[in-house]
Amino acid sequence: MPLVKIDGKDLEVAAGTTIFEAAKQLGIEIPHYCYHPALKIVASCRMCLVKVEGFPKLVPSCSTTIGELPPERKVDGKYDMVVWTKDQEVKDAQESIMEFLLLNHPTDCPECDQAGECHLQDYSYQYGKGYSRFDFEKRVPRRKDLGPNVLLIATRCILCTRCVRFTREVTATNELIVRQRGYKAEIDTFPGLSLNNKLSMNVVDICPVGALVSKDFIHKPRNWRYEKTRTVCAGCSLGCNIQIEAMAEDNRIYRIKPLYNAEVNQWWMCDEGRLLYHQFEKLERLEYPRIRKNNELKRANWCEALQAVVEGLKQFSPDEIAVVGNGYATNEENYLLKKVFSEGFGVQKFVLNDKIRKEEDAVFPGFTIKGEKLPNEQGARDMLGRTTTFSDALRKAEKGAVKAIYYLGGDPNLTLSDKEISALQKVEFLVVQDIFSSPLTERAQVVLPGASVYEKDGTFTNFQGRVQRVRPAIMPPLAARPDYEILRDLGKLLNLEMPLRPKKAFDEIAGQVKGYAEMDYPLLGETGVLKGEGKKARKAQAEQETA
Amino acid sequence: MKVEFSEEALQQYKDILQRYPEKRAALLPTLHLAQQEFGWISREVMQYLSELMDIPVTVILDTVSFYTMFKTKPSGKYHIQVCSTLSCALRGSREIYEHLTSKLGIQAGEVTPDGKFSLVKVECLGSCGTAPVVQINDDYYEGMTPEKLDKILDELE
Repeated sequence: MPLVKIDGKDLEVAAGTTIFEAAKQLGIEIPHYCYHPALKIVASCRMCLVKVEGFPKLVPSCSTTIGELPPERKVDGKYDMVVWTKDQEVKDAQESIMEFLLLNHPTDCPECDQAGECHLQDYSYQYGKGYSRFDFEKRVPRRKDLGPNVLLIATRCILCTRCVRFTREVTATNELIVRQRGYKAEIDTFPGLSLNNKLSMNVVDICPVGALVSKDFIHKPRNWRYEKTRTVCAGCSLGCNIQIEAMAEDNRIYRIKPLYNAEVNQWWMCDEGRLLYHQFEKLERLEYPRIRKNNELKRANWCEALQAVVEGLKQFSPDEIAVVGNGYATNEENYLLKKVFSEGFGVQKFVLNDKIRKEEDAVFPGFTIKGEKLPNEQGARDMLGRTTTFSDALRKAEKGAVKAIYYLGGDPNLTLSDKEISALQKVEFLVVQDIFSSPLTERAQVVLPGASVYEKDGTFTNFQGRVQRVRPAIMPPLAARPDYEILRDLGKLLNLEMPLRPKKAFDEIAGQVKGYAEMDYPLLGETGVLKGEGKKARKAQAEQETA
Repeated sequence: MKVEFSEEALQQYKDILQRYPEKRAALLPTLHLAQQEFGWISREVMQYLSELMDIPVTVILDTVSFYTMFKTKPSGKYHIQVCSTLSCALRGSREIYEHLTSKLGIQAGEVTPDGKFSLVKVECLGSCGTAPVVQINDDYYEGMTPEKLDKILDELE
């Protein structure tokens, strides 16, 4: 294997590794704009130039590969390549490149949404000159409305073509191009076409400057003002790793961005998942527990409401109670649901909500959006064991075989047919633990306000069987509580031994549910662990610690 | 107006394809063929080629806009290109250009109202030895003076 020396540090790499990748392995950061690990290399920004001994001029490190030299040509008798990334010559080049890239830049940072997470700002500070010698009129290309979610502020663009390559390589939708050349070059699309594929907002993330702007995020508060939470998207069963940016003072989400997870979503996520939080904002949320008295839902406190649930359900035999779990609830919640009702009421068989939104998978060359529009169907199945469907339970209710329903909700896509709604009328005792007003809550005897997916703690299991951590980014409204706590307190009321926190519940899951053995929250870490691989992951973790 | 290659052009297109490993590689010669056939590369032409060659229409616009020799607006019957690079400039191309603008009443990049002439300034035409040079459609006119040019333009129908 070729031996390379970068800034005085030795490293053995496979032949064909680029200087950039080798430097990264050594922890040496080389500034770059056009290079992106997911996209083809074009070496057009020239920011990553480095000095290689024996080469007549500086070379772009992103596209220069390291190969094996014959013994007599090796540098110092052993190196196949000797690279300097912080040489004065390199620094001068970086300074010049920064000056070039900023020639026509409007430096409108005070009104730019990228400020604070902008590579132009950061690199300017680290590698730039601090002033420009360009005193001609700056080029001012028009800003363009590229598509439903993305705006191009062309003055800020440095033409790295990451967005163009994204639409060619990852989505293969080919909406974006570089139009014209040289001084006139700008990002554009064909007249009449627009950037409206389901992954379009990823170009905003990969844009290293503030040129491509999310219409959803434009002119919102500065990115450093948010609290950032690592969690999992609830939009479909893929379970993209995301960062939620929210503000504590108004308990609102302002932006969702994808986080890298090699095994799940790589760098990307779909626009629908990114904007999913608006769907929850629009819902008429349940804010207080309510109990039906004289055919009217009256506000109650949590003690009264839970007491009413217990008293109400006690009148029925286990066979007459249908307990509905949900793929929108976490593993811990579904687990507690099963625990409370099997130990507290003797219910044997559970019901899984099948009134879910389902469509075809959207397949792109570099990404697949799953068709099941809920995050944890797999996990719900694992937790509840063998289940019947909610449709089936409603049919039984119609016939009078099911007399009481405990419904654990959370799915904003729930839709029931008229026939199913009329079947609900025959249910004598209906408890709805959900987040929004629906035909279900209208007919409920007791309503328990739960938490949305952005407000709860726990784990989801995606379609691959990967168990990933979900963390709360905001608080549930008013008296609403995370579903975990509701179920826990219901269990306590029945004198059951209940795990205090989701973490504890997950430990119980690891002990009981097949495939989850050996797992706990620290082990899941940032990337999650596949079902059945808990043992393997633990071993790998131990090895890493000793190393 | 429906944009479509004539049978003859279609045959030429098929011949071009033979010379390249993939359709996309044949884009440039096909664009030249289209320019010959339709006079200029309109949006409709790009859309037609996109369907014909199975290349995204955006990629065709990318290519067309990169190369200056593809016309993205209609030109006159006689397309006059005045060389303005060094040798021609030294030998008086500016006077030639100014003479043309006043004679035809148009600036570079424009077409006369009757559609007969269009005028552009171009970089080196590669005939420095006989500067200044003017290219009208496919023909070179070398060692130009305003008087010679007048005579040539008068003869054009």
